[in-house]
Amino acid sequence: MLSGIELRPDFILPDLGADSDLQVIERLADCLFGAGMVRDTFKSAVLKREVDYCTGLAFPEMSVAIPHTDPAHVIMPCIAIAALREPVTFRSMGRPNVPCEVEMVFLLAITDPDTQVGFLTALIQAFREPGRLPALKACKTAEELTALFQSYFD
Amino acid sequence: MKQILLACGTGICTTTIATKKLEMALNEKGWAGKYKITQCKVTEVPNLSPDFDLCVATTPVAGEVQCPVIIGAPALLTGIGLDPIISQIVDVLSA
Repeated sequence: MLSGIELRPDFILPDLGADSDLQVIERLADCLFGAGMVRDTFKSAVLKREVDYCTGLAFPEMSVAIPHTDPAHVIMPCIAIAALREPVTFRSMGRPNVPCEVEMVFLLAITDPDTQVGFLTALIQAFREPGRLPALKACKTAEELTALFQSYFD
Repeated sequence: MKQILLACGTGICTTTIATKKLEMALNEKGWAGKYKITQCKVTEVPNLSPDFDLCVATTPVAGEVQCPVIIGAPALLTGIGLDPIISQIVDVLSA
């Protein structure tokens, strides 16, 4: 179950070339703002949070980042996903001086952690499940990635 | 009842995930019903810390903190290297 978290093909960048962690976040935040899912303060709030409290996470098969911010900047709960053409250096959660070569980024726009906790824990579980992250990364189109991602939460 | 403060940058999302993981791990170690987890923002830790036995944070904590602090990330998120972190947490709770 995606617990009411909206994911649409236009929130997905399946082959994003980017120079920096912040550039990836900007591109994803623009998708959500363009669709009216988040407030105009969302992008700067996520960028600031990533600088202050970085979100790179090394899972066994792939490193990912899960940038997010306070629910005050979110209109509708949703997620935007980027599969990066080349790995981009993020900083590791809890260890800001440890670089993390990230291949996929999941920008979370959460409104209510209590009702969306099921989704959040299922998301992390999916990252740990063998084969899932590589399969998401291998998707050629946004539609394909949307369908595969949703199938992990059925 | 041991009071655990669980902190991340915004006090949502990361802490929500980490709380679930920590609850499961502590309950497996026989701590069910013997602790209470409160989520907060990492900037709130110095002020809240006097009332807590332990702070588990997913990011480094700045300022003067009056309880032990254990950095629980990335282990509480990825599950990698979780056992030594849980042992540290149990040691502090048992002290």
